[in-house]
Amino acid sequence: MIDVSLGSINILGTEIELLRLIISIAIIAAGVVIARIVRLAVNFFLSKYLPQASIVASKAVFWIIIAIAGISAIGNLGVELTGVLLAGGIAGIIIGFAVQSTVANLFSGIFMQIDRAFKIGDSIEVAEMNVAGVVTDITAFSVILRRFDGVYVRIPNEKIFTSQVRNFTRNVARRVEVTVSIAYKESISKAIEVIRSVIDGNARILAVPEPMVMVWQLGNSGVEVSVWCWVPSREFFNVRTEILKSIKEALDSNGIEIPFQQITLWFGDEKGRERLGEISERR
Amino acid sequence: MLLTNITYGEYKVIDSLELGLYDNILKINRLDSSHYIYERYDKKQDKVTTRRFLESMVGEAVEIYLYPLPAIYTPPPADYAKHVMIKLKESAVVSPKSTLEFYLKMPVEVGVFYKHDRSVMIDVFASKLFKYALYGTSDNGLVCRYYESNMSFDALPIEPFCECLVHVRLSNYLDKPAIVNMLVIPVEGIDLWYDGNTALLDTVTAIIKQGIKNEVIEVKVEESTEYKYTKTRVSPTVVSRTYTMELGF
Repeated sequence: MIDVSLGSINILGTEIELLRLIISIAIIAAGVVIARIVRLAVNFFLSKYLPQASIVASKAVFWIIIAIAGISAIGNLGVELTGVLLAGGIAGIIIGFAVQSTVANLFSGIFMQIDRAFKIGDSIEVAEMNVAGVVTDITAFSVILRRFDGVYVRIPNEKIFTSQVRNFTRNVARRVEVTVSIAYKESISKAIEVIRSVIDGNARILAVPEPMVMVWQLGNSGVEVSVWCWVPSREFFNVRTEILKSIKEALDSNGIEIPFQQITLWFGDEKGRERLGEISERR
Repeated sequence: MLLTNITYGEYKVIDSLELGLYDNILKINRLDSSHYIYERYDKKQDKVTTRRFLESMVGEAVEIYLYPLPAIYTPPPADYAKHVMIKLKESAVVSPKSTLEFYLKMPVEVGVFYKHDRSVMIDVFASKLFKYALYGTSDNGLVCRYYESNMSFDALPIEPFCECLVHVRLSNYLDKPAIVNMLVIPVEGIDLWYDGNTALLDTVTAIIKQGIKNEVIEVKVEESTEYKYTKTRVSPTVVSRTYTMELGF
């Protein structure tokens, strides 16, 4: 079966040079060493962020490197690999189709960790899916959200990876924007002064960047005053609701009217004018 | 008790005690031979905001301590600030290769501690409204407690139970003059010193130097030992006493 002669070896009828054989063995040995190192490295880096995915990913990387080393070693021996590669390729395509979404989710999960768009505990919104909530878990294949209304939502990693994600808590501060309408007869300066005093009295509103209170628009029913103020991200909702209430109360206590929307209808034909007259008389 | 007569430190309560600190009235009353009740009434909110039951050894007084704390604990949850940003009302100009020593004021809150088996904080409140500020940008900055202070070469008069004194040693290692408008001081877990109703932070050394990208100030709260003041020693954890201001000053 094996016939060793000077400088070559005959295995199952195939003449192989000894030097090539040694090189092939060296390639496999090197491949195993590299694969082990890479597996450990992948496991080490991923286990921090994706403990479940790290095991699968490190094994996958290990066997891919082993396969590459094996193919290179066999190729080095001068063995024709076309048939093997063709069969492997067909099998690869079949398996690829079968586990396409699983692999996509797995790799999306890994890329998301590299991307670091969010972490457990962050409040996020997945725009394309119209889902928002707190991230409670990030697994190898999906992200688990607790929607703000308490509903459990599982989103495949691939969907999140290809969607626009808005993270409400990643940055330390956010800007609260509210608009308040005041009646045209009221003093704008007085209204701004009252609103400013409300902002100054709220400890959670940051002094720097300085809050802005400005006339934003001359609206249909009143002068629209916009308030822009920065708050710690986690306090966004609390501060927004607090200041709207406080501004309303402060404007009321200072006798500043917040107008409701008014529409004046003009009746064009004779019948309409008569009807309008009747209403006016009744009043 | 009048505000001027109230000091930081220990209070042994046998039957009852009432302390008025600005808008807060602290009351401790004996319930029976070994139980007391602590209440803080907030005049602004017109209600008792904190109520705690305390225990003592039968027939013995209950020990309460008022300690100054860096102003990062209120309003709750208030765990987003670990630093205090002190904006200088007048900029400090430091010549090249020189050191400037001066005093600033920093906000403090009052921590109420109760000693039974060990010292436990039962309440914390601010006597004044303190704002927050963003140092840097929202994506890479930090939220700090904010305070504006004059700069003085002599110790500044401070508002009791609202402010504490900060001794700053500002050195410029650069070859050009530096203008400093603010200091960001790490205060989480830092114990303050007190004497009467005056509170003091350990000396802050701030070094202006060339960073990797730009000029920075390395701010460090030194561990001083030479003060005649008493140290509160209430912080359970050791945290970093150093912060590098890389986002401008």
